[in-house]
Formats: sequence, structure tokens, C-alpha cells
Amino acid sequence: MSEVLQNLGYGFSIALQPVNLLYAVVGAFVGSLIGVLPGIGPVTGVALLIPLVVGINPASALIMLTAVFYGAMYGGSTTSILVNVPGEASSVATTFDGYQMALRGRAGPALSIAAIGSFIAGTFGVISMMLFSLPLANFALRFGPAEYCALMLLGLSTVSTLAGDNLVKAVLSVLFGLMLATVGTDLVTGIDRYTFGIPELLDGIDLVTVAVGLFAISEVLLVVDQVTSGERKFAKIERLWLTMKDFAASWWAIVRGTLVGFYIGILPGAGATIASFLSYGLEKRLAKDSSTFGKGDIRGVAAPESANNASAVGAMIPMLTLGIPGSSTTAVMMGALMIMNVLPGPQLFSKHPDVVWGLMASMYVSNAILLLLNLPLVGLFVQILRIRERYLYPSIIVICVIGVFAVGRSLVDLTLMLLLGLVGYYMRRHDYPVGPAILGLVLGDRMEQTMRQALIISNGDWSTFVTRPISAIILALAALSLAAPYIIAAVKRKPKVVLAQDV
Amino acid sequence: MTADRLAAVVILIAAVQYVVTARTYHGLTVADVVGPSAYPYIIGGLMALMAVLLFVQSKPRPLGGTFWSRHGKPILLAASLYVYIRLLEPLGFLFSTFLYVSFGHLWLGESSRSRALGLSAGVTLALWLLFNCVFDLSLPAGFLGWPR
Repeated sequence: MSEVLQNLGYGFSIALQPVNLLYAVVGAFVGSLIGVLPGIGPVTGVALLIPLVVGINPASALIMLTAVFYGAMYGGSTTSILVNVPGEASSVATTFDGYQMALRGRAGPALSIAAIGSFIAGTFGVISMMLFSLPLANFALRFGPAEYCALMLLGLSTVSTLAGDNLVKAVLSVLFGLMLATVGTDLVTGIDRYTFGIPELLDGIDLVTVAVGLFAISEVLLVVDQVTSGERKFAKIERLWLTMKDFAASWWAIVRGTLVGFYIGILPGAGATIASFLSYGLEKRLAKDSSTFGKGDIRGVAAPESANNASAVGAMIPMLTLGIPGSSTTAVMMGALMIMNVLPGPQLFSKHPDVVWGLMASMYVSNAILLLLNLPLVGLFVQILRIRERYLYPSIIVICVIGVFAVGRSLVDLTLMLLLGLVGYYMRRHDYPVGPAILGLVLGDRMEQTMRQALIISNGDWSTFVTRPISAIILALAALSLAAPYIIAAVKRKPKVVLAQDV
Repeated sequence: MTADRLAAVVILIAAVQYVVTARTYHGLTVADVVGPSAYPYIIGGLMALMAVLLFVQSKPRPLGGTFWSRHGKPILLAASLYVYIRLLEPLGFLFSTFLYVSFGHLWLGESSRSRALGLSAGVTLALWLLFNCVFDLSLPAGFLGWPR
């Protein structure tokens, strides 16, 4: 315990350095702007900022990226509540009751409970993270290449099952990411693969290019059809603060949302979206009178908002301790760390303690900054939404072009961004989830390396993956996670209990 | 042929091509037992399998409108983005961005030509100042070699 407190103190001493505090404030502000803008969510926001923070030291860079990530999440909930436009998938559940509250003139309490719920969840998440991550990292030190390979497979299989309704399409998305990861120089033999003679591809395809293409460009292509000349309708914000009665009503929803969110967040592959939907469904099921849900029930805002925030913190745990990101955003953040030559994994805690503990403390600090920043500035952020789309989208595309150009200063990257934007557009139009592709791209290289290392150790014997006990257990879990939807469906079919309607 | 079936065929061809290409990659050391082609075989093989599953599971679903009414605007936007990217280096960031953003404003429904041009000049200049001068990214200067 004292060790945790000591680390905590060390972390805060880093996070509260004036420079880092400044990075956190700027990050939180930029993140909120990004979250409010349609088309740029947390994944793209973090990806676009990577080239700009590469020069500064890793701890400060990560602090800023975390603040951006958090800010974008807050910004996303703001637009969900006020205009029924979720900035990203994880705030979709917030629109159900948040927008309804806003229509009934209760936008203020909805925004407040979202901010307070997020703050409580973030606080709990950060404290638990400090308690859990060191033991987990110590345990992970026993893992060999076979275990890592299996663990990444588990991450990819859970993300496939949870990412969408269609398992085949989700797996295809993962495979697409893994395929992109094989482009470039093979690190074991030094030969180049799938570069088609293009020298720019020798280093592989950059994560920023893929994230911006698949997420931001595809989003603009997707919404360009819906650009209308009319202005969006806005709900009025009358009273900002909420009453004790509101708070009392949502207290347990916040607690449950936090626990569900944190637990889901730790699972590799599952992310904030699933956490928010699950906790919304849970509240609705537990409520004595669930008829108020969907009509502006404050619990329907408190639960998913706490859950998506807690899961965002939870997802950092596998990213930092195992080097396996739990969501698309943490995948992008891990990519940023790797660019700065900081390899996440159990050794991170001894090699870069300033990064680990500084990050954890700064997550807490970001939370506090956002609470202070968001409540008074809600009005300002909403003004951004008044900018008409025809002015907004060309600028968003230019920002994406600048961001991708900054990475490699090459036209090849920009052309790839455009191609991936078209692929992403097709995928989203036809219900393929794009998040798994990002995860596949980030994990692909290491998965192949660990697979080959494990086989070198075992002299080419493939059974090493199932004869080593930890690896075997993890692989069994991966198989189970892929089979789970079919098992659940088979069990459900016999007794006619309708559960699916809850979400 | 539904969109999914067409996609399945394309993915299958890509997966086979991916595996065929991997056959030319040979390991150099004895220690690296599986070599650089084993992993692509697995990925490509799984992808081919998924493509077949996608073909089998796809259900025909009516799509409203013609291809162009569904995808016309996005394709035009992508084409304009391609032109912008190609012009970026020869014309430089300032000119190409100004042209692209003005086009975007007008195409997406701005009726006043002077307002579109004025706004895009402002946006271009603001982004250039922010990224070129504050963040020091040195965006393409173009044929004039100016401004830097």
C-alpha cells in the first residue's frame, strides 16, 4: 500500500509540474473542441496530434494525448445531449435520455450529471488502476513470446465478437488491419514485403495515416450526403446546475456504471462503447419503473457516461502493463508511445516510471481540469456546432491532410489516406466495424514477431502454443470468446426469454 | 449480386494474391524456422475463409436509388481531395488549400461567391499560420518557393 502511495506521490509530482499542467490544460481544451466537431472523434484527434507531440518528452506527450482523449470524450457527450449528435460510438447511449432531457429544458442537469458521473468514474478508475497495474505487470513478466502471441489473439478475438452484429465482417476488419501491418521491412530477415517497389512503404504504413483515413475521411465522405442548408435545432440551456434530488436519483447509476465500465475496460478488446450500452441496459433492467427511460431519465445519462469514462481508464491497464490496447483509442496512444521509443509492457514500469505514474496522475488531473473547464464553457463549445457543415467539412479535411503530411511529408501517405478513406466509407456503409482494423494494425507486427520467436524457441514445434499452460488457457479463452455469441444464441433460442430488447 | 457478395469475391481474390505474393519471401537464417511467409499464409488463409463465409451468409437487400445517387457526392468529394493532394506540392499549401476550400464551400451549398472566397482565404491563412509558423511543420511552399 505504501508503495502505491509513494508512486502516487511521484506521479503527481510529475503531473503537477507547471509545464505538464499546461500541456494537460491545452490538451483538454483541444480535445473538447475535437469532441464537439463532427467527423473527428477521440481516435482521429489523438492520431492527428501525434506528429505534433513527438518532439517533446514522452511523459509530457502522453499527458497531453490523454488530456485530448478525455476532452474528446467530454465533448462527445456534450453534443450527444444538446443536438443528438454523438461525437463517437461510446456516447451513442447518452443520446437516448440526454437529448430527451435537453428537449424538456433539462440540458443543464444532463450536462452536469454527465460531467460529475465522468469525474467520479474517472477517479475510481485511476485509483483502481494504481492498485492493479503493478501486480499485473509483475505477473506479466513471466510471459514468454508464446503467451504474448496468445494474449494478442485474445484481444483481437474479443474485439471481433464485441465490435458489431456481424462476426464475419468484424473478423475481416481485424484481418485487414493485420494485413496492413505486414507491409514494410520484415524485422527478422530484413526483406521487404508488399511494398510494390514503393520506397515510402519500406517503413510500413503509418498508424496516423490509417486512423485518419479510416475514421475521419470516411466520416466526412459518409456525412457529405446529409449536408443541408438548414441550421440544426438546439435545445436551450436554462439552468446549469442540478438539484440534490437529481444527484440522489443518479448516485447508484453512477456507481454501477463505474464498476461495469471499469471491468469491461480491462478486458482486452472490449471498449467504451460496449461499456456504455451495457450499463444503460443494466440501469433500465434494474429500475422499478423503466417506462421513463428514453424519455429523459437522468439515470440514463449518468450510467453510460460513468461507464464510458471508467472503461477508458480501465483500457489503459492492459495497454501499459501488457502492451495490448483495449480499444481503438488506446491502440492509437500505444502507437504514439512506440513512435517515441517507449515500448509498453511489463518492463515499462521499471524503465519509464515517470511515463507510467505521471500518466496515471495526469488522468486524474485531466478529469479535474475538464470538470472545471466544461461546466462554464459548455456554451462556447455549443457555438461551434452552429458553424454550418459546408464551412466545417472542407476545413476538417485540410486538417487531416496536414496531420498526415506531417508524419512522413510524402504524397504516398496522403494518397493512402484517401484510399483508406474510401475503404472506410465502404466498410461503414456496409456495417463493417472499423475499430478492429486499427487494433489489428497496431498489434500485427508484435503478433508476428512473438509468434516467430515462440517457434524459434520451440524449434518450429507449433504445439508450444498449447502445451505451455498460460498460453493454452489464453487461447482457450480466445476460442470461447469467438464461440460465445453462438452459444448464447443457442441457449436463448430454447426458452423464449426476450433479453435483447433491453438495450 | 449483392454488395456483400461482390465484396466477398474481391476479398477472396485479394487474399489469394496476398498468399501467392508471400510465396516469394524466403527466410535467410536457419534459426528463423517458419520464415517471413508463414504469417502471411495464416492471415491470407483466414481472410479467404472469411470471404467464403461472407459470400454464403449474405442476404440480398434492396438498395434504394442508382449507384450514382447513393455514392455520387462522396465519390466527387474523394476525387476533389485527390486533385487537392496532387496540387499540394506544385502549387504550394496556400494556393491549393485556398482553391480546395473555396470549391468545398461553393459545392456544399454556399450561394455567395464572395463569401466563400473570403472565408476560405481566412481559413487557409489561419491554418497556415498555426501549423507552419506556430508548430513549425514547413508545409509545401510550391512553385514560387514563397512564402516559407
